Amino acid sequence: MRKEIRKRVVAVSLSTLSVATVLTACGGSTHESAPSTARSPSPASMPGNSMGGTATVVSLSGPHPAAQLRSALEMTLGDHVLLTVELMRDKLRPGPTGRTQAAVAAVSDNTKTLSDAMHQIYGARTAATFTTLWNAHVQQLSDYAVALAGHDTSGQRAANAQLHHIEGDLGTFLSTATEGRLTPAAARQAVTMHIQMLLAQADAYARGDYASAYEMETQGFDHMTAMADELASDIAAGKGVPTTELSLPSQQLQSALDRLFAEHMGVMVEAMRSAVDQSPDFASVGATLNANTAQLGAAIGALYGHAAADAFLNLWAQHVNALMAYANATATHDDAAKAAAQKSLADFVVKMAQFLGAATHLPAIQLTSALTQHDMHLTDQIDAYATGDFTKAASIAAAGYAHMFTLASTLATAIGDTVAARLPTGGAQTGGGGTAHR
Amino acid sequence: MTAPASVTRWWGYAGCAAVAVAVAACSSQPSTDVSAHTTTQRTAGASGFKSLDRLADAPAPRRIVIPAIAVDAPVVPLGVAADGTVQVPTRWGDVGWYDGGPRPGQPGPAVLLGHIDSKSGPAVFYKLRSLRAGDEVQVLRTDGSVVRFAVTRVARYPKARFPTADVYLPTLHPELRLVTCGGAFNFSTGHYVDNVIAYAVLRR
Repeated sequence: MRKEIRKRVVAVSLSTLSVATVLTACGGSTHESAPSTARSPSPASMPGNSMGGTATVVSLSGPHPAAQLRSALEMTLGDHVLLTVELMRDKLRPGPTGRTQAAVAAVSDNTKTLSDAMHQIYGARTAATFTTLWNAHVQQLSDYAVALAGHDTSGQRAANAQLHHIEGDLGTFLSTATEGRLTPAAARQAVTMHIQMLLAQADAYARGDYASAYEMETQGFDHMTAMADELASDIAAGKGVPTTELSLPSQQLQSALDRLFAEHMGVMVEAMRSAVDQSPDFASVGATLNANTAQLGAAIGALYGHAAADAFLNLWAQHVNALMAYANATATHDDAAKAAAQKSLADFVVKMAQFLGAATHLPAIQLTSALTQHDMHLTDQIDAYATGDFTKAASIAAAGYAHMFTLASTLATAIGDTVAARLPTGGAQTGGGGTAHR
Repeated sequence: MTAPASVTRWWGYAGCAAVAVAVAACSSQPSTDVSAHTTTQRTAGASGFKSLDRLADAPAPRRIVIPAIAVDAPVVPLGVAADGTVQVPTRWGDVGWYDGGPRPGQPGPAVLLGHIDSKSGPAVFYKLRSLRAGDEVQVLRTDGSVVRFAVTRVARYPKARFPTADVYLPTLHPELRLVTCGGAFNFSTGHYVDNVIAYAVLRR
């Protein structure tokens, strides 16, 4: 297998701040992994394409620096939740050493990404403080999961006590970093909520209450991306960058699509791995996947109406079902079923590209390439996972996660333009005779 | 601080303090038609998994009640007029729902319009401008259900600079836009020069 050094860099250059925030997204440090890209499409077909080691550059020197900072923080902090959940659950269920190592490395890479961002915005000293605190909370969450798995109540209490201290310290840090825009109490409350959600999902998972575990994971992801939104606004404001753009409908649409597509990728990976592992949590992760699909459909419905939403969901279901069929076929080593699933995916790509092309006026070839790439991220990561190459699986999943943000950005811009063109125009004539004249 | 939407989402969680012990009681979002639909989509195993393939049907709005301004009116569907503007109700006492957008309770901004007055006196949304943040708006639906919203702000805009994006572009969560006329009345055109818009979000 060909090995290559893969380094994905989201370079966030806040030119108006005279800083360059370098976010190495989803495993940004030098990451020894080998996503076999023999079947990979050309990486140049979508802007910022990140498959196979190409650099994803998000420049915040453009027209929407605050919005781009928000998107970058949504990506990295949202991924923190997904990866930490994966790490904690790895402790709760016996598995191969390689899986544990990959989970640890993925969280570590994510932390490095955040630390690099802090370094670029605030300097080395502040970044070092952040990294110490951030690593400590990850470590204690991991320790808590280990204690939980071992029915070690004193170990759980010890981890909880440490986390309680870290909540205060991290809250103080965030309040200081945002120059008080985030009050110490508010910052601590937010950090506490984040930690409590991660602990709660682990507790639920350990007792076999998978529905609650996935519910808490979803809430934790939403909460963290909301934190990202707030932090982006406060950081930008502290640096003198206008933040009014954050409330623009087009930017809010991108933020919404960021979260929906990122969650789709995260949950899809979990569902496919659950299928391969024949895990008892599948019913709950499947329900979570459907909840995400419902939200995507609702977004399309709000944009284009109910009929379009149904058409979208019909195609999206083909995508999800084919991927699950691929995972099931992988688990049973059924090559014919895998081929059938791949054929269905190829059919989906063509139809969805036509649908989105009509909805956005984006070129079909661009959409086809992006959708193919998305499917391949998911099928390639499960192939690697099933063969025990967990590092490669994590690397490909990370690339797929980052790719979702590129896709969301492209679609949000195109959708915003096309939808805006068909909305009612001008004011409504909702007055009759001037009796309310003033 | 800015970014009120994110703040609202964030503090929505902050109210769920007892997360570890009250998982089921602490939802990240208001109950919506989407979540209600998907709770029925649970699956038994990977091989039997079926993806959701259609949007949940939300009931249409039937009536609107706004206690703070004594509104209790029927709701009728509206489309887009030939000139590109949204249609308006043909009865002074009716409230119109723009049916090109989401239904109240579905994610997105449901737009409801009513007249401020008739040629002889006040109409259904005469007092819309006096709504305050926190006032409740109830939308009764054809299945008998009621969705409740809370007003977040009321603003007035010249019709020439109507905030189309703010009113119509989608949001992830269910919201309402209540629209009527306001400002000065232009007797030569027979129309008011402004629109008054009340923004509301689903009440938690």
